[in-house]
Amino acid sequence: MNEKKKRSRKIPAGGIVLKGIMLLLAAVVALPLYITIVNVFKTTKQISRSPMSLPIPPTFSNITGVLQDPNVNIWQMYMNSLVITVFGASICILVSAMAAYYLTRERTRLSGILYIYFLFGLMVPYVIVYVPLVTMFNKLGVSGSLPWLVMVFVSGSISFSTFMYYGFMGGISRDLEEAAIIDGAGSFTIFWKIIMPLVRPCTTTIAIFIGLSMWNDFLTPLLIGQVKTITVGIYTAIGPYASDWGSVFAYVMFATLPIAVAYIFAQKQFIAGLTAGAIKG
Amino acid sequence: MKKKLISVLLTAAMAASIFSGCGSQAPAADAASEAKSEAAAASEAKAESAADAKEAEAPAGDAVTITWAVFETDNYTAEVWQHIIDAFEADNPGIKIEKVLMTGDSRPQFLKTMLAAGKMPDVNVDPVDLASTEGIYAEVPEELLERYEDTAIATYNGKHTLVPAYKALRNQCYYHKDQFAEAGITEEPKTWDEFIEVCEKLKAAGKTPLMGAGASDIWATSFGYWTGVANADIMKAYPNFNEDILSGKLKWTDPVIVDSLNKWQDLINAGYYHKGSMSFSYTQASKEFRDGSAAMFMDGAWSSIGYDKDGITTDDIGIFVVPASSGARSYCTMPQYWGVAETCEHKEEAFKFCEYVLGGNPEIYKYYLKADATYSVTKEPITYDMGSVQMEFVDNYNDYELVPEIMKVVGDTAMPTGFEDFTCKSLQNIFTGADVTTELETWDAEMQRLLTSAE
Amino acid sequence: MRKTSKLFLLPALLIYTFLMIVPILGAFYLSLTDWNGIAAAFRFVGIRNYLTMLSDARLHNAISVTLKITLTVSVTVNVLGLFIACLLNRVGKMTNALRSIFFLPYVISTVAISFIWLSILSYTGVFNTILEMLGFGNVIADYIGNTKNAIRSICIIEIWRILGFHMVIYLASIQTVPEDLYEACTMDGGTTWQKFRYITLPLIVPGITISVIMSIMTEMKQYDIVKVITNGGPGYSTETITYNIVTQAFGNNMLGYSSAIAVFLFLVIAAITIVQLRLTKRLEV
Repeated sequence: MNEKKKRSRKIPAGGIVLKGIMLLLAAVVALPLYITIVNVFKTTKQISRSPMSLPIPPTFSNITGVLQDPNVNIWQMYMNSLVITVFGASICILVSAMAAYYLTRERTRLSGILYIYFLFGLMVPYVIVYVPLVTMFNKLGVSGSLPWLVMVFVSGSISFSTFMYYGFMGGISRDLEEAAIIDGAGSFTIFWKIIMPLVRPCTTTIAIFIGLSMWNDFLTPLLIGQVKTITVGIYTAIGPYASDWGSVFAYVMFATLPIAVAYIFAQKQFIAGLTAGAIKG
Repeated sequence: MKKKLISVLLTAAMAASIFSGCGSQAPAADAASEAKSEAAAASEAKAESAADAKEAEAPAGDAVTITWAVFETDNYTAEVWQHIIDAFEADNPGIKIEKVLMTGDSRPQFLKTMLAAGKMPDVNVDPVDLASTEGIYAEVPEELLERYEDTAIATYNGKHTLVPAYKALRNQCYYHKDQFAEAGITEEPKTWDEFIEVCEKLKAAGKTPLMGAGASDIWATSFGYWTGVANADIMKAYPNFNEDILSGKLKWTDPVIVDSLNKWQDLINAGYYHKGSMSFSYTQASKEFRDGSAAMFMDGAWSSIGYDKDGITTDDIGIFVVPASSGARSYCTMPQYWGVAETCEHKEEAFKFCEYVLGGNPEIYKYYLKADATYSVTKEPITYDMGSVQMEFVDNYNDYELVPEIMKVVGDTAMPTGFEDFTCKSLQNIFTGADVTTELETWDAEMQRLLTSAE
Repeated sequence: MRKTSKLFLLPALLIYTFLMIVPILGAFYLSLTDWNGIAAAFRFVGIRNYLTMLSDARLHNAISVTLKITLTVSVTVNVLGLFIACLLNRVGKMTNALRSIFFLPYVISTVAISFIWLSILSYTGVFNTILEMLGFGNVIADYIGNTKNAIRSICIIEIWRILGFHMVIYLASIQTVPEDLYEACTMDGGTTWQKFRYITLPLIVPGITISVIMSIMTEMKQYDIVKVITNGGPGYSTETITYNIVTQAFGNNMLGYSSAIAVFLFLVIAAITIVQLRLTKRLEV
C-alpha cells in the first residue's frame, strides 16, 4: 500500500516540481557568471550601485583598458596556453592509451605491478615535484623551454589517463582484435584502427578533463620557468587593479572567453561521445 | 620481480645522480656556468651574424643587453620605468635595458624561481630577501659605494653586495578633515589617550574611525600599527632590539611588546576598525578610505603623492603621527637597494646602469625618488618639490628621532628570511581575536626555527 | 593470443618515470636535508625535518583546515552530484542544457573563478550590496576577513566549481545502466527508491569510486583559491597543506622541510586511496 502511494504521487506531480528545482539550481550556479558578464560592460561605480542590472548603455572602457595595458599581451598568453593544452593533451592521450592497451592485454604479474606504478601518480600531491623538477631542468639546461613544460604537463596527466583507459579498455571484447590478428594485422594497426575508435568516448572525456586541467593550471607555469599562460598572466595583471571591479571582470572575461566558447562547441561532441560510449556496461 | 627490482634500482640511481651534485656544488653556480655558456654561445652566434652581414651598421650589433627586474604599482607605472630606460639608453649607446616585470605577489619568490630556472635578471630592484645568501649578488665596486651615506650601506659577512637605492618613510595616520569637523574634533591627538578619545568621538558621531586592510595582502595588516606605533614603543625601550632579540637576550613575549599589541587589540575590540577591514586588500582599503568609508587610515608615505597628484590638498586630508602609548617619539625609514646578479655577464655595464639611475644622473634619480615619495641616500642629498600632503608628512617628523625598523633591518642583524611574513600572519590572528601572549610565543619559536635552519 | 609489444608501454613509462617518479624520489632525498634552495652547501639531517613537523603548530592547523575543506567539499559534491545527476537524468529534453550549465564553472580557470567570487564576497562586493539594497543591511557580514566565514567561503566556492564535474561523472555512469533493467524492475513493481538502490547504485560503483577519489585528491591539494581569495588568512585560518608547503619552500627558504611535508602529504593521500579502493572493492562484490 505504502509503495503504491509513493509511486502514484511521484510520477505526475514530480515532473514539474523536478524541472522547477533543476532550473532554480541551474540559475544559482549560473548567477556568478551572469554577474561577470553584465559587469564587464559597466564602470566600477555602476557596479557598486547596481551589480545585477543589465549594462544599458554598455561601456567598453574595461575591455579597451585590458587591450591597451602595455604589460598585458593577451595574444601571447593565449598562445602559450594553447600550445601547452593542445600538445600536452594529445601527447598524453596517445602514450596513455598505448600504455593502457598493453596493460589490459598483457595480464602478467609485471603489468599488474606497472599498473599500480602508473596509478601512483594519482596519489601524488603535485607540489612535491616542483623543486626537484626545477633543479633537474637546470642541470639539463632546459628550464623555461616550452616543449619541456609541455612534457611536464604530460607526465602529470598520464596517471589519470591511463587509469581511465585501463578501465575502459578492460571492458572491450577481444573478438575484433582476434579477428584482425587472423587477418594478419600488426599490433599498432590493431591499436590505431580498432582500439582507438572503440575508446573514442573515453578519449573525448580524457581530452576534455586533462585539457582543462592543463589550461587551468596556475602553479606549474608559475613555478617552472615563469611561463606567462593566461592564468598566470591575469593573476599578475589584476594585482594592481584589485579594487577596480570593472577591470577585474574584463580580465576574467578574457581568461574565460576562449575556453567557454570551445566548451560550447565541444559540448556536442562530449555528449555524443558519452552516449556512444555507454556500451561500457 | 627481478625486473621490478632492477627498474627501481635504475630509477634510484638516476635520481641519485641528478641530486647528488647538490651537496657539493652550488645550484646557483651551476646556473651561473650555464648562463655563461649560453651567453658565450649567444655571443658566438652574434659574432657570426655580424661577420655575415658586414654591411650592417656595426655599433648596433655590439649592444649589450642588461635585464632589469622591476615591479609596478600605482606610483611605479610602466611609464616611469620606460622614462628611466629611455634616458639611460640615450646617454649610453651600446647598452640596452630590457625590463622584466616581477610577477606574482611575492617578489622574492619570483626572483628565486628565476634564479632556479637560470634566468636571473641582471639588475634587481628589491633584492634584500636573497641578499643574505652568499653568491647571489655581485660585490659592488667601492668607488660606487662611496657615493652613498655610510648608514645606507648594507654588510653581509663583511661584503657589500647591494647598491643603496633610497630610503622610504613609513606610515602616518591620514584623516578626512570634514569627518573630524563633523564629529566635533578640533585638534589632532597628541597622546594615546587623546587618540582613543578621537576614535570614541568619531564612533559616537556615527562614523567608522579607522580603516584597516588584510585579506591576501598580509603585509597591510601589520603596516599600520606595528610599523607606526609598536616599532616606536619597542625601540624606545630597547635601542639595540635586533641584536638583543637575535642573541636571545630578549624574548618576543617581552612586556613592552605584549603591552603595545594589547593596546592595538583594544582598538579592534572597541570596534573602531571598519568591519570589512580584514577582507580588504590594500588597494581596496585605500580606495574605501578615499571614498570616506572611514575617518582615519594609517597609510604609507607613498599615498601622499597620490593625493598631491590628484589635487587633493591638506585642506581636505590631514596627517598626524599616531602617538605611542609609551610616549615614544620616533619614526623609521625603510632602506631599499638594487642588486647586480652574480650570474650577470656584463657586470660593468650593470653597475653603470645602477650608478646612472641612483645618483649619477641627478635628474633621473630625482625622477625615480619622486615617483614613490622616497628620499635620497647619496652623500649629496637630492631634493625635489613636494606637494602639500607629502610636505606635511615630512614636517610631522620634525622633532622625531630616526630609529631602525625591526623587520626591515638589512645585513647581519636582519630578521631571518620568512620571519616577517610569519609575523604579519600572526598579527592578522591578533586582529581577529587571538591572545597576544600566545601569539608572541609562536614568534619566539618560529624565529628560533628559522635561525637554526639558516645556519 | 599474440603478445603485445612492450614498445606500447615505453613512451608513457619513460615520460612518467623521468618527470614524475624521479622528482618524487628527489623530494624524498631533499626531505632528509636542510637545503635552502639557493645556497651551495646543505647537510644531511636524517629525519630531523620529520621530527620538526610533530611540533609545528602552524602545520597542524594547515592539516586540520585541509581536512575540514576536504570533508565538507567531498561529501557535498558527491551526495549532491549524485542526487542532481539522478534527477537530471529524468527531466527529458532539458538534461543536456542543464548539464552544460552545471558543468560550466569547471571549465573556468581557478584564478578567474577566485576573482569572480572575490568581487562577490568582498565586504563591499556584490553580495553585500544586494543585501543592503534589499534592506538587509543589518545582516551584512565579512565573508573573507572573518576567521570562521573565510573557510566556509572557500568551501562554497570550491563546491560551486567542482559540483558540475562530479555530477557529469555520475550522469555518465547512470546512463551506462541498461534501460531494460529498469523496465524489468518496473514490471516487478519496484519503486523509484528500489530501482536506485538495487540497480543504479551497484552498477555505478566504478563511477562513485572515480568521483570520490577525485574529489578527495583535488581538495587535499587545494591551493589556487586559497591563494587568491585569502592568501591563507586571516592569520593562518585558511592555510592548506599545499599552501604551507609552498610557503615553507619559497617564502622561508626551507626546501628540505617543505619536501618533508610534501612527502607526508603524499603518504597520507596514498593511504586514503588504498583504504578507499579496498572499501569500494568490497562493495562491488
